[in-house]
Amino acid sequence: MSTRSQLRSKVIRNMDEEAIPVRWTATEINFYLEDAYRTTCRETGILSEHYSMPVEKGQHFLDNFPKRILYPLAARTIDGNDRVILDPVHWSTIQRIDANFLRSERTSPGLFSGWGLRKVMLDAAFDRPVILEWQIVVTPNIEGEFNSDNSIPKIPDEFHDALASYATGRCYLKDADGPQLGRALRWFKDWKRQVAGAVMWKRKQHNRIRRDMYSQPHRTVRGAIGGFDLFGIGDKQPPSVTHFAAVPGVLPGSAP
Amino acid sequence: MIVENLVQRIYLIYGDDRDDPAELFESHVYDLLNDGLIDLRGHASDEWDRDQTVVVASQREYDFPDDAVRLIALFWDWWFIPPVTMLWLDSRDESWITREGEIICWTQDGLQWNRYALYKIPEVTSEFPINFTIDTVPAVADRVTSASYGIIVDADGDPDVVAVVDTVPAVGDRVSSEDFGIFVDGFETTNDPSYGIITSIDQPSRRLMDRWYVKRPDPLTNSFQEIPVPDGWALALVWYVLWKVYERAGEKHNSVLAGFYREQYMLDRESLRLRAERPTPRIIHKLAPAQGLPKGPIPYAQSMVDPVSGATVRLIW
Repeated sequence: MSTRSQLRSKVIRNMDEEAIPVRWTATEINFYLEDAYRTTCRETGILSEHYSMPVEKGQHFLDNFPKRILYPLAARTIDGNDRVILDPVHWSTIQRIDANFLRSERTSPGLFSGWGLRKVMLDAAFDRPVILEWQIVVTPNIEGEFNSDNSIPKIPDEFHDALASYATGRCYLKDADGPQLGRALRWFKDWKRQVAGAVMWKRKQHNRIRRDMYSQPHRTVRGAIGGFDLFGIGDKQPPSVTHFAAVPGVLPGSAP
Repeated sequence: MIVENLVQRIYLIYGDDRDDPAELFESHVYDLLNDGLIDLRGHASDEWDRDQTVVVASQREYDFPDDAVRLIALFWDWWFIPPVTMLWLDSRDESWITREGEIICWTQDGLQWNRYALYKIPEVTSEFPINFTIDTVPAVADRVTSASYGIIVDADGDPDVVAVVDTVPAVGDRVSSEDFGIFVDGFETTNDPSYGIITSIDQPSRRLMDRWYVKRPDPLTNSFQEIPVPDGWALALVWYVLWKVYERAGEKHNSVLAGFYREQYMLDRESLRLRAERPTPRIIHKLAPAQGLPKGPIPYAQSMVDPVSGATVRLIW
């Protein structure tokens, strides 16, 4: 576990500088650490949080997410005993399923999609006010949570070193006595290697979240909307097990 | 992030004195930040907006919304209408340029970048929803149903007694929005808390064009302004400014650094574009076609599958 001041010391050590370096101030290195934290979370999607949002009756577009949102991961209602689960799709899928979806209101909308990068659209509005429970992937709240020397990045300890690598690269880019691009690139390469590990960690984490929210890590679109009989197939032609079995990770227990 | 955060970083990296700059003046930094912002938004389409507008009888071409960089989708009277190519229109209807009728699709082919044309050309001018003007003089508690704009006669004001006696609002009808409000075919409510009487009604033509578009960013003018791109990608603007300042002729011209920052900017821009194009987890997009759902997604409204050749066509951008 590294605090911001410890990460700063690590950056200075990486550059083999004195404890108080001449070319870089502490404020400046803090900037680079903030950028490292933000960029690492953006590249990996490693930071996710829970978010509850009231939704009005008839509301198709939801835009009151935190500004730090990268993308929504999963959603369900907190609505008494009946939980409505919503699945993420691309907006064009919603439009193809129902070209008149903007007029639809239902008790249980089944799909949501990103709409631009800060808004979300539902495939049908709720026919009553509900509270939606979201799991969203975000960038860090730098001003609120990474603003002092004792602050600790909210990512697993093993990836803290990646922040120091990125910040070291940024220090070397400074054009004071001439930037040292070769050294900077070497540290960025180191950062990328560590980011790749973080992406693997994130995948497992997101699968776990989906499993908790949806009871399966890779929920199927047809499974999500089948209940609404949007294709008019109803019970006559339920999706077959063998059909799903061809897609790894769809059936519970099959490898993703 | 605010503009100040970016400007600080730019001066730190470039190494000029912000208060007494030798080369890099703050006004120049702001110009470059705004250039970068337009470029980033234009390519990545990260912020969407929508508006509703009317169509005019016999008018084929329309302008984009004022703050639009480009259109994403159109919905006529709540129905999605697809973007098509001129080739598709030619193959369908030789007289498509002058054909009047129900609107079924739209195109940007052969038009100025910020205009689009409807097919078919509307025969009737549409208007915004009915606007009721309400006399707020308190009256007997007649109520208006929310299902349609009928008037419920219910002298005691009990909301569970429903009797629609008038399905067309007329001047002189009594209204109450205390419990129900007026719903005009799902478009508009009037939430006047007091009882009243309808004194005038606008023309009841309510078919509207719903337009989704990529929003043009507001220019950056002061240091406390919020950067209108997601936090994770705000640094892309720093890379853009550094690319441009190292590229220009001058004492600090450095083509290697300019190339490096250009590369950083392009990577961030592409990363933002990919995220904006598929803002939800990708596993779903992979699964959907395998389950018999339509192949997707269509990233932009400007792409379509040409029904004649079967090829994916990219329209004007």
